[in-house]
Amino acid sequence: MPLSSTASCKWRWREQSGDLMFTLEESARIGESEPRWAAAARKESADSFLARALPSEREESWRYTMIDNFNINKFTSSRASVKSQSRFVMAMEDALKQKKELLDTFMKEKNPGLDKFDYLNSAFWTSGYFVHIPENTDASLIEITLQSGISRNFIIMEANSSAEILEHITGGSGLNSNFTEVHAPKDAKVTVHSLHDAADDVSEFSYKRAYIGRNSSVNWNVGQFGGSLNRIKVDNFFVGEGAHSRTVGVFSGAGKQHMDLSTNAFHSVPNTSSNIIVKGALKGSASEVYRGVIKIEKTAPGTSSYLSDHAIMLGENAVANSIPSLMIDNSEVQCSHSASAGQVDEEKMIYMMSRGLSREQAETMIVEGFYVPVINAIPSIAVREKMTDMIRKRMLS
Amino acid sequence: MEIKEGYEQKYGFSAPENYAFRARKGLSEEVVRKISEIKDEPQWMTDFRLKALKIFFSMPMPVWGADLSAIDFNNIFYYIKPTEKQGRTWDEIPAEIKNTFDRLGIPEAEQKFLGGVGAQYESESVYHHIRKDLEQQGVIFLDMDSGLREYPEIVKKHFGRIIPAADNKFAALNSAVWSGGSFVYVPEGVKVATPLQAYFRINAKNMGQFERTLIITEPNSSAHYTEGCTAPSYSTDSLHAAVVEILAKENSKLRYTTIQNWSNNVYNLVTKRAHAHRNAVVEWIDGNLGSKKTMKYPSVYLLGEGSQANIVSVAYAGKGQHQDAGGKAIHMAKNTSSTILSKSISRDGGKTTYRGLLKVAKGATGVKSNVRCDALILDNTSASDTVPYMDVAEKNVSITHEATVGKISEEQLFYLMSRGLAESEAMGLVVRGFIEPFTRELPMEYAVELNRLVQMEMAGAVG
Repeated sequence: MPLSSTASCKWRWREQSGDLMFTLEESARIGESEPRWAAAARKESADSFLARALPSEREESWRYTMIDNFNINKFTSSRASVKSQSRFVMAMEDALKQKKELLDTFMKEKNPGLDKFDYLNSAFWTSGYFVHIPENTDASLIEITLQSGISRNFIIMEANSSAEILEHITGGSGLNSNFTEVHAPKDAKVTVHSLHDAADDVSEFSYKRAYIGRNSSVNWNVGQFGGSLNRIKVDNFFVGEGAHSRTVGVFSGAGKQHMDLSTNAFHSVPNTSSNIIVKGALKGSASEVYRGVIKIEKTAPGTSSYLSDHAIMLGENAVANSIPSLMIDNSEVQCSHSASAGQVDEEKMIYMMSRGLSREQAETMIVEGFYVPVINAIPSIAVREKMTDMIRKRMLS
Repeated sequence: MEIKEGYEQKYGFSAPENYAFRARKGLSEEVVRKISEIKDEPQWMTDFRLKALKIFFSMPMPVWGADLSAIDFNNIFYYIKPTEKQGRTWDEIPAEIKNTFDRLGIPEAEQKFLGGVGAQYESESVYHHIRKDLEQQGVIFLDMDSGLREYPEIVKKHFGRIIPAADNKFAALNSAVWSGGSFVYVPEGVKVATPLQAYFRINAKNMGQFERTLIITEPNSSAHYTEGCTAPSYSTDSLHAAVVEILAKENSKLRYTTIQNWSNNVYNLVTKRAHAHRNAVVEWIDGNLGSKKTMKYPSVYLLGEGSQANIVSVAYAGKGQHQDAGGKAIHMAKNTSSTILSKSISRDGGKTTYRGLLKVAKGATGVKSNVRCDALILDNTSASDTVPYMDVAEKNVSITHEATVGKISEEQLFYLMSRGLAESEAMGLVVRGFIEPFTRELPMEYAVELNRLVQMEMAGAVG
């Protein structure tokens, strides 16, 4: 909607390179070692990628992230790789060969909302992880380190299974895309902690998607930290009665970083619930756009869906954009959103400084306090500490 | 369910179409030239219109908001002149038209509590009057055409400056074919205590009404402008595309109240914008009850330090209606503040959309803003969207936003019914309570009228 004509992000493209090129030949080369069906799907995505124009700034979801003057041919990517000790984790390239029956349907899934960057992922992913939790299994915490690049990740939760998964995305170079998809068809419970902490010069376009079935819950804790551009889209599809999600987004931007986070909660069946909480601080000239959509169909009575986002502006040139939308086609629902933007409360600062803290210490402490409610809700102590460390590092940089 | 039955009797009647002049249906350069010629306008205005027409033709239809695809621009009368001359007293206007305004209760209201009244019928103002004491203080309250004739310098200086023709497709359309509307000028230091009211009536089928309003409040002045509008219910569509520009100078205060109650065959596509200078206060009190589709987002550009914007709106969408409305506050100066409060109700297949913008420019420190939107969905065939934009480029600010969507709680209904109220009465009471923050901003007579309207709309809500 053209309410405002100026996109206000300050971030500029950096033409950085890895050794992976976005050409048809490269895509075919990656596909060479894959089963035929997977290579065919890859080829189709490569064609769609090349045929598609870049999204324009006029498109609603790109209004605040400028992509004009952008020449995708000048970009390359680093190769993704995965490390984990867990017995539940398999490299995605191996899963293609061994888990065809599980992956076949998922990989071919058509989604009309996909843009050029989503096809880029499908055409050029080189690695990723595959997690499969069998029925009646509690896998507890699975730690995965993902070298950023073009990665494709799958989590499949069978009935009555539960797990907590930490994906720690680091390093990388050039243009990266990490796509994580969760399927929890029935009575499963999974929390995915996702720390996006790619190298400083990375431009990241990542996608997370969950299909949440009957009485299942899929929770996301997304930490948005690294990269010069960090764009993450989280789609939750509530497809079974009693499905639930709690999605937490935490961002911390500094320097000239541009953060772009969007969450979509699609409620299409009765009695599902969602709670989305986004919190972040912006230093220096960092800019952020948060776009949150709650869509409740006529077929979804008994939905309760909440959304809140709060930004603290620390930098003189920081910019925060927030577009929380509710699309409600049913009256039997409970739905609300709230948003705020502002600076650190001066009274609190003065109080703390009167207790002997320096201005910087006081500010850091207040900002940490701002994050506490979302950090403390993370069950794993290890993840909590990691997240806190990352925020601290960003705040002090 | 006879929801619009009350509307039919009170507002939905029509008078015979005996007019002094009626332009051919459809939009063309010829029609635009003819309007300008009939009005004997200066060349600059003719040029302004023709340029705007080109812009209108060149701009695409909006791809967001209400569905406007059914508007047939060729099946609309762009100009109808109902009478040869405007009346200064009600007795001077043709009986049929006077009868219409009598039925709408306008002369009666004028007697009781208004400082001035303008009545527009189709394209032209048929009656305009301002109280002597206000006139003596230099307050100008004219229809826009008379304003252009009598105060050409002021109009030329400000016309189309706050909302240029190219602002959006329907502002361009208005700029090309505008007719009527109000010209209000409040001199320095003058406080107008009683409201100045304009009433807009569409009578003809397939009518296009394009009034144009310009309000200027000089330093330290204040005024309250109100408008109402109704039309007969027809099976074919009419189009209403107004432009309202407000210039609130230093330390002045303007409140603009609208009770939009068009019949359900009117497309209501309106651009309203105010510039608020140092310490000025601009308030939009915006009620949208009628129309088929409304797209209207009254906005305030806070240009001077300490200026303030208050936008309070209520939207009701019943069968076949889509109210896509909201408000915008654009903070360009330090220590400015805004509040936006929106209440919407949808039922019987209606849809409400709150769409708004809160923008803080770099350097606008000390901004305070609160945006709140509440939506009530009364049944399972109705819908509500909330799309607020927040765009903040300054750190020293305090911005909060809240929105809720839901239905009337069973508990509230049960409680009221246990006290002896029928279910429909109980619902009406809850709804009136829900919109009370809006109603209390209205002059008492309007508040009573609004509550009655809501009651009318709510009749048959349960069944």
